[in-house]
Amino acid sequence: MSKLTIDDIRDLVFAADRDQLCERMATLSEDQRTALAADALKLVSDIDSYCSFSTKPEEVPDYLRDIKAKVDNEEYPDWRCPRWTSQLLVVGLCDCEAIKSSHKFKIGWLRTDLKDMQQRMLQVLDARRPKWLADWLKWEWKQEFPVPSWYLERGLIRSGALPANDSAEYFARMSDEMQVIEGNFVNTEDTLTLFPSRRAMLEADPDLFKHDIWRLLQVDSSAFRYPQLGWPDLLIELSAAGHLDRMKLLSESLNSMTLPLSVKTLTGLAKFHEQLGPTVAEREQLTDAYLRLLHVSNSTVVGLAVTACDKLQKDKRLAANPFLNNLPGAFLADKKSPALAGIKLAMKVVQSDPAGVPQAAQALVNALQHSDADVQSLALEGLLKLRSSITAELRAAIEEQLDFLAIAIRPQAKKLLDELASSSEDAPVKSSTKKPNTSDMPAKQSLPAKPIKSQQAEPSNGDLPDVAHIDANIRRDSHLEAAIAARSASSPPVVLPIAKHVILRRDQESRVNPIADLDELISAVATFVEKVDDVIELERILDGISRLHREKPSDFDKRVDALRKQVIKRSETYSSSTLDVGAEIGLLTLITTWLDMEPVPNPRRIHWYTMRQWFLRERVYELIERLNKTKQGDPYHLKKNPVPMLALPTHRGGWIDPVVLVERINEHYAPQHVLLDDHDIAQAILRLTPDGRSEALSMLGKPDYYNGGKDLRYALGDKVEVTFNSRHAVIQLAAERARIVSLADEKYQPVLPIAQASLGSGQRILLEGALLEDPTVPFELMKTGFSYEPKTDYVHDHLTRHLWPQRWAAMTNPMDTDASCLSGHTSHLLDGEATWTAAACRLAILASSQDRGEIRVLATDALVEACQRLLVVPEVLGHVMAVNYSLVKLNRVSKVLSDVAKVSKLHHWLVLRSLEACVIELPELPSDSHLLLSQMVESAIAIGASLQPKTCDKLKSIEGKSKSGKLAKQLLGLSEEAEHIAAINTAIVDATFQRACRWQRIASGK
Amino acid sequence: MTSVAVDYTYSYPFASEVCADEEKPLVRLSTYDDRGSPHFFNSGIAEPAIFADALISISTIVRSHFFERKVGLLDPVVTCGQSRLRFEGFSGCCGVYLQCNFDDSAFTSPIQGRGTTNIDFNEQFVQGLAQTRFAESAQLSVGANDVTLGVGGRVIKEKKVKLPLRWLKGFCEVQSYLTNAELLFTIPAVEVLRFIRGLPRSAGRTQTLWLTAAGNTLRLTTKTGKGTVPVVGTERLRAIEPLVRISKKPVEIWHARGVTTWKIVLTGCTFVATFSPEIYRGFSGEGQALQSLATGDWKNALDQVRSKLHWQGTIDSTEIAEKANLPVAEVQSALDALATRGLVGFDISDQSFFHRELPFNSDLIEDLHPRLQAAKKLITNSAIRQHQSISATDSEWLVQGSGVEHMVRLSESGDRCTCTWYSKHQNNRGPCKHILAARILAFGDND
Repeated sequence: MSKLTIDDIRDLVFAADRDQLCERMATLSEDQRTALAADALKLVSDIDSYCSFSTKPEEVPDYLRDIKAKVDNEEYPDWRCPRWTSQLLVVGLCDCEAIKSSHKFKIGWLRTDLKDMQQRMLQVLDARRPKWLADWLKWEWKQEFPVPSWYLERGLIRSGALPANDSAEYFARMSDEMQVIEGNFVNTEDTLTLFPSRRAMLEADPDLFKHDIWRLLQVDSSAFRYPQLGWPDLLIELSAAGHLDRMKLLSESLNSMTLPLSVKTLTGLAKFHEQLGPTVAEREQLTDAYLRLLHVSNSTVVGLAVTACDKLQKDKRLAANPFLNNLPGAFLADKKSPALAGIKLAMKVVQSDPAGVPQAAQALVNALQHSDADVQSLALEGLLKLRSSITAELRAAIEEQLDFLAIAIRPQAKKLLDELASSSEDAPVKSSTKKPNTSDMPAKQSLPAKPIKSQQAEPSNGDLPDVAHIDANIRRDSHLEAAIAARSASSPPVVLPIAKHVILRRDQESRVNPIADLDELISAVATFVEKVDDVIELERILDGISRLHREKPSDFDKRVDALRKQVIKRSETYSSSTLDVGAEIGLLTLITTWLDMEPVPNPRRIHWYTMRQWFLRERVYELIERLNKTKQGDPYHLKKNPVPMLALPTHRGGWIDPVVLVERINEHYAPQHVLLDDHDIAQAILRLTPDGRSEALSMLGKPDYYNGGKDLRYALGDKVEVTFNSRHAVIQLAAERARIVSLADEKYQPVLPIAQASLGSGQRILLEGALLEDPTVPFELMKTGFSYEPKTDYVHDHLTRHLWPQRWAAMTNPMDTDASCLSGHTSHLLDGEATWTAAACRLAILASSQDRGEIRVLATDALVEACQRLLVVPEVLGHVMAVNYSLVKLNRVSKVLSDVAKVSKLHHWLVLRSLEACVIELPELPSDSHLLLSQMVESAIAIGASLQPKTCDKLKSIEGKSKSGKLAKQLLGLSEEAEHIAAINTAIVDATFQRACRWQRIASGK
Repeated sequence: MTSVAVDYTYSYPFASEVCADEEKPLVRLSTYDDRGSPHFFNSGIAEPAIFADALISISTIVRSHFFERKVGLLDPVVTCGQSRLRFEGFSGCCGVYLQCNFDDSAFTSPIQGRGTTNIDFNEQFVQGLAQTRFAESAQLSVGANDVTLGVGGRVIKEKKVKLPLRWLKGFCEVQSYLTNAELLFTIPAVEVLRFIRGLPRSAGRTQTLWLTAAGNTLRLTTKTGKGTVPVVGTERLRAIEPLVRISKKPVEIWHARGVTTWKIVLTGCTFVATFSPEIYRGFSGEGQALQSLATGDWKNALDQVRSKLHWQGTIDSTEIAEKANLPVAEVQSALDALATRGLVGFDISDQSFFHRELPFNSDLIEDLHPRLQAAKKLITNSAIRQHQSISATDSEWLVQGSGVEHMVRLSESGDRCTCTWYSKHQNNRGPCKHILAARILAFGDND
């Protein structure tokens, strides 16, 4: 054959003769290939560029016009044939860099096209065997879209061009790619279509049956993760056809289940093993392998092993001792079904072979460690039957497990221990004297080195707390007196709601300190620009800028230069940075104005629809206005000293001490005759604490000293006559809400529990809160309200940093948070003083059911705290659960309630009573009501309570042997322990006493 | 500028494997460091199941990446010395540090050999370990003294990896957390197992959750406070579940500055997993030790203390202080400094340092504190000057940054800087380079 020249190559490419081209290239040495590489690459690049036929005819080089003509005359089976042919030159002549970086060499189609030419590539590369072959493949496997397929790699391995590859990735590729891949194979003349099926491909390469096919069982791949792709069926088919040894398939599938593979793969392997349909005789041969699987952590695998042992046992082919010795491993699996099956099987085994009773007893003691109450219960039932064989050592082990058993199971365990003690002549064995001495022994747990204390102290004793130091009003308002009376009279425990207006909010421990000086302000802004951990910082910054904006020391520029740079960097539009989001409320403008910077453009549109955020925007813009006046040197403005923001909260939660508010007005605004900003004062009024109002009122100057004066007086409880003034309607609306506190009297019923108000010329604002039937409220103002319930199933997670505007919004009206709760603002659940309204309860229940684990944890926290502080009225919570039953996932809610109940007896009692209220209110009990009932059992047993008559009536309607039926029967059989009521009443006294002490401390200003 | 990763090649003489030897499995660990492939010892394994589970867990963690779909490629390192065989490693994301310490009771023969080396972990080896779990007895060889190399003595197991400097830095930085960690909870393993299994999936990735005691159990909370430890990324915690499952001893939970350490005690072995404060953060860049490195009192003692290190399993600082005639506090500071150079590690169980030298080119480890170097560079370039002295302890400094001057205020109540780093992290990740530079000038020497 004559030497291959570039002209020959060009002719072959033009003829699209791939057979000839590959044949001629195969004879070339690596030097000859190198010599041709540059010209070949140019040809490939030209064809790639100019034969896409989107190119104008005049741009096609002359030497490619033949191709163009042939294409025009439809002489090729496919117009891309010359391109495909040329691309083989890259594989056959060039360095792998051209394949790796095809765009660099202007052959953009190369990688896409080569993927469809696996057979041709195999032919060319096998003949060539370049040095870079193995490294190139390694590189390709790291790419998102590699050019070679498993087929190519396998072909090269088979021919000896590459060493064998035993990596998991190789077999994962085999699993994925050994199938008929759809592609351009017909047109590219590739031969993958030679294999109509995966089986045909395997049969064409019988070496795969020796090793590779078995490795598929040992790696995480699609083969068993997605059995619907057909591998399990194929393996069974190949086994039936005699290509694979059936027994080996059975045993290897079992061995593979001991490997650290993914849950899906293990599940797939388990299904495959069963799909093979092992006979009892085959299973008997595999007994050891099944017993090993009992120790695996995957529940499906353990389940398979137990089922297999069960089948062997039915056929009397299961030896008792080995099974029972290995059984404890099954109880370490997570799910309950294999554990339950294991216990049942153990009982069957000892029935047919009583010699195994001691091992069975040992195994069942291990089963007590399982977290599921059903498993523990069944294990105890079994132990009861085997009690004659329970040794002192095992009895001690059971005693040690007592604290870790589900509460509902403990009476059963105690009963067993009592029986064991009475049937034994030995004295009860103390747990501390025994130690496990074999590895099969149950995991004996030492007690914590530092004893874990319950968050809530259990009612310690029956002594009444010393209440003499507590003010009589506080004793009454905090319900301490009522709680003490109930305990003394042994009345049924009850949670009384706390009226909002009696709660003392001015706690020194939660004070918010204003920014002290310029340095602190610079630092606070710099931190806020980066992240918003605590949204109250925004209020502190507004106040700081308001008071300190005229402080421009000589080194001001030096101090703020870095901050200016930071502001520019962090204000990129739609970056969701603090300043980008804050641009909507003018925060960016405010900061740049304060820092004497050029305005930083940010095209975000202001579209605040609710009053809450609208307040913030208006306050910010008023502040900007003040800064601008300072800059412009407005003499009237400059004569007056800078003033603080009125709405800066004085306490966490957004509260403002009325005394401080009046001090701000008296010290800064009134003497200088500075007008109050409508929105700032309205926001301040909405944030007033209920306590301290009369004191503040006494400090307030005449109402006409400043705008809004009458409204503020009215808000603080003064008997002033308010006349509607549309110019200051926002202050009046706010004052009306603040007035709720002083009008909290039963004779004033809410006209609208949650109202929206419209204001001014068509601008609608939301003023979310109750409108009272208060004769002092001007009629015109009342007219603005209409019913509004912003109900949503969505729960805003107040922990998410970038949602800081929502967190701020939740601080708008801390006194009346129902609307905000219905909007899903979870921060309200963490208010440690106010009794939960139905809206708060609804939010807590929705949060308990959320998909995101963090929100469920938050709901748990909130409920724990609310129970501890007696903020939950169980009847309200139960009612809300019943009403919203269809909105929630009960398994999640019951898990949250279970975590809450575990904290203390008081928590158990509140959870129990709430669930009872829910059960009573549900029109009919749904199929998953066992989730509620099982928690009721747990809590009722934990505190020794029985159910209320109404609950019993409801439960009597549950019949049958369903899980719910059994639980209902168990609940109906509960009897009340004598000390139960006293214990809960004591816990309530403790909680109310703590509340009263807290309020007393607040009242005394400590 | 320091490169993010360097090319590194593990050149093992053979691949670690589990092979049958006289019907007992033989676990052959292949070793490699820049000086060769050391052989430490051969022994029987007392509890093959526990040994295998521990090594499988090591493999699981070092192969895991907890915030990207990647596989960790770096092998663990093993240190042998004075009755301890210690494995150390990081998850692929460098957010989980593990230390698995075997003592003599884990083996039928005493632990012998001294040194630190890389250990090859590969997929087949781990699969072999899984089978070893069921063996009644097994043998171990750490390294091999009679390695038959491939034809021509060539290395037959070669792994080219990118060795991120954050991985190396993590080794040095995490020790400062371990030394300062405080034991908060000791919980029965059965309760810990239930807690881990009940954790919500993929929670705590972007928001830190906290662990607290509730009654006699553990529960998650969103509120931090005294007696709570952070749980960042619940799936990270799941990595230790297999070991908690087989533990018969209480699990200890330690805490230091947002970093939690879980200690699981198994027969003959203690497994320690330390979790970084955020899932997207490793331990590198924490800079906890920077301030003391910049101005500490360890410099005089460093060489003397280093000369006293000879692969001790536990380093007695009092003994070294006596031998070197140095105050104990100075020796302790010197050990802290040596930890940041990868020359000692800290064993939380023994509450003492142990000698180990990371098996990498020492040049890589020397330059692991770019922030400290940057601070020194600022001083060298005269890019820092005092602005004003406010009091005996408080002063203001101007430091040249890129395009702006940063104002640093050194104060007893806490240092402050106007740079972005400080705005983001305050002092939670150690001081910024500007504060460091100011501190060096104000209180330390500039060696």
